[in-house]
Amino acid sequence: MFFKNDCKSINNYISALIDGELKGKKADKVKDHIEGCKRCRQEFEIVSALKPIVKNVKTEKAPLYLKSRIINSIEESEKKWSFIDLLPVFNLKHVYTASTVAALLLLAIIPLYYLSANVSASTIAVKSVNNHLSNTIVDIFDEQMPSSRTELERIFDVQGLSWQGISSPKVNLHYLKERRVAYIAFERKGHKLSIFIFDVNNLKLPEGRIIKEGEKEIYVDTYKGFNVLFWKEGNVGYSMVSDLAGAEMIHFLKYGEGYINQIQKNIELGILFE
Amino acid sequence: MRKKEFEGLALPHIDSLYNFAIKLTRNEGDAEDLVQETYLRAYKFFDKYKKNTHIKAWLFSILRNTFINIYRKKKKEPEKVDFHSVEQFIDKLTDRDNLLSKDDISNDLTKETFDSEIKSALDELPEDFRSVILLSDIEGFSYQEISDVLKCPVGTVMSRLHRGRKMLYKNLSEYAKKMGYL
Repeated sequence: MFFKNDCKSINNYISALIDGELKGKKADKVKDHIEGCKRCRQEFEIVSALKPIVKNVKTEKAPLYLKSRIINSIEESEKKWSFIDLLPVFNLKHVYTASTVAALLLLAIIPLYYLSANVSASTIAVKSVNNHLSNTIVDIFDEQMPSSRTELERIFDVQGLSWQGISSPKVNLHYLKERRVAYIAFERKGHKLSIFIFDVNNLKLPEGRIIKEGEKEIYVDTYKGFNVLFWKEGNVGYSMVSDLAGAEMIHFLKYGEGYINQIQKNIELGILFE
Repeated sequence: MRKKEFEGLALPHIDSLYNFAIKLTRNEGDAEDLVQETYLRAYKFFDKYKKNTHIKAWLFSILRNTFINIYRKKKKEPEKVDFHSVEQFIDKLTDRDNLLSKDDISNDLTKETFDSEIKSALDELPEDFRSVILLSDIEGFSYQEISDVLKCPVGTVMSRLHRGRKMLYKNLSEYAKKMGYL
């Protein structure tokens, strides 16, 4: 017995029978009931007649421009991709010292200055070397687990830091507690730039394109149209992601170091990673 | 590569999605935005799409979710259905002799002029019922697929579909009566 042989129990199965969703004994039972019941037969006929009518209703066609609008918006979305979505997912140790935080800020502030000077983009010196890289970087940045965010957002008003035309730059520093990643992401003059800082102990480094910049070995890749620089100092990994040309990004690294002490002097670091 | 694959698989369903979007939003502008947003989300989560499964059903479920998240929030009151009146109507039918017979329906209601009437009769249905009918009869989804799209049990799909059809019939009959066909 699947269900009782009364109209109320049978009723809902009428449509299922017509749609071919009812098989075997159940179907037989509904058919038997319909044979002997005027009310249910009536419903069966109504629905049977209605189905092809609805099926033949003229459907709306998407306007022709919608397809290209969508293709464009997909392309746009790749450019607008969120820095947060790229956060690496691996366990980080407590590697945050005063100097790493300072370095993080340094990396953000130098570009701030740079972008504000409105330097036009030079040719992209660092091209995609995807094929030569192991997938390591891409793998890390492909991970998207936004649910594990625990965000600590601080706005830094860097007092007394008014050299070279920058007065008290404000930077959002995000620290994702759970994932032990700190990053800064911002936009300036239509360019996007983001810097990640994380522990690199268990990370296999890519074997592909490496650029030497002083002592630093910088691994280079592109991801979704953004240039990705990746380097490490000790166990600390850094990554800079931007739509700026690779040469410009390296420029920040090259000339940034002179400012580190100046920044360190001006920031109270104690409050950051309590 | 990913983009090409996505566009090749997903874009052919644009008309069906748009048709569904129009039925949900009842407005061309909103429907276009909804379809666009659906494709953007689908592209973002394309990695989660299981290869060789029914991509159309997958896209429909994203569209429906998007609709609920974005457009339904605007509405404060949920739609209410007076099931009682529908059941009473069907009961009344069986007591009368001047019923709209199967042939009447086929002969009269399939006429070109009725097309817009069927559409507006569909539009008058509450969203849940409109959706099941559309997915079943126009898009040809199975009950299982409809249950995936609407995130409800197959049994609910079945009863909603049947009730929805009865309501649709009621709407159509009332129209027929008004126009003197009955």
